[in-house]
Amino acid sequence: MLGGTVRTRRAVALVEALAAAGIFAFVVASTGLLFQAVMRKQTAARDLSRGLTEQRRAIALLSKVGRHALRVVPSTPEFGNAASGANQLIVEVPEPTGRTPATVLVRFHVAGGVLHKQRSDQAAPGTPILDGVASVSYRYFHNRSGERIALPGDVYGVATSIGGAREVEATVVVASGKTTVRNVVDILLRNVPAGW
Amino acid sequence: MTRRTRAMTLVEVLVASLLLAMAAGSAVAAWGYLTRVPMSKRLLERALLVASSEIDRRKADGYEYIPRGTSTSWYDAYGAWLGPAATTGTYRAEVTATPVVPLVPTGTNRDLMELRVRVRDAGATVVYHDARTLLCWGGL
Repeated sequence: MLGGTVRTRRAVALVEALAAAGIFAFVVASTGLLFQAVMRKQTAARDLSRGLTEQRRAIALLSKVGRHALRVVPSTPEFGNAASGANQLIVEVPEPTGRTPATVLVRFHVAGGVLHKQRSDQAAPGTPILDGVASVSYRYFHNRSGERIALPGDVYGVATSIGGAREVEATVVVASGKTTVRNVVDILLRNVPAGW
Repeated sequence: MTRRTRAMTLVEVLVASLLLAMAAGSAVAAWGYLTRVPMSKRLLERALLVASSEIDRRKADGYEYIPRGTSTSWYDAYGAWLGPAATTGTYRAEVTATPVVPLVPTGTNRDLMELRVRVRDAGATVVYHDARTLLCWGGL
């Protein structure tokens, strides 16, 4: 360059360039991994939250009906000769005053991965109350003098079927995304005649 | 003429290091928080079910058989009761049964009882849920 000063700067050495590229790659990779991990956590949290929310609603309905029930129905010609058991719950529930008949049977059963609530005056499969169900299981208990006795079983010398239950333990397992949500709840059948 | 750029001063290096440390610390803190979110959600949601189950289970025992004062029940991570002999678990349900002033002055205080259920962690350091209910003698 004529009449001027030539300004030169030292070029970046190969080692420096490689080190800079290495550091940059490390930072980018770390950020990417952190982002992926955060996304996984966020997805898991979302699935869990959704599963818990939907389960809460279904369990609330199950509890409400169960607490209102007069008894567990061991077997019935209704619902195509259905029976209460480990995978299905049938209870007899009083209807509002003046209604005929005075009671109705309500069945909770799983069909096609959906938990349904079906009344005996309702067509199968009934009202869907929970999607994505992996399993719903029930255990039955009789409570007497502060003691909890699993049914069917011996209640003070009397062989007792699940029809004598005063308490039902429901275990609900739902697949929500990649997360499995499992909850257990005890339900007291508050309308069962006292003293049984 | 060759101009050489000056090296960074110690202060500049320290400031840069501080900024980097703050960014890294924030990332780690965010990571820790995000890790705890699903667990906290699960613990709080299940505690609600545990409280509900405990109230129903105690009521199923019957008014006469509910021990007065404070007693403890244990539940597993899914909310299943671990039985009367359990001494540890994931959830600790502390039930305080207190007979309250009778509605009818019969001379006894057996008419009405308050059940307070506090669901805590195993170490009893955190209260996840606090629920109260009333039950009457001869009823539920």
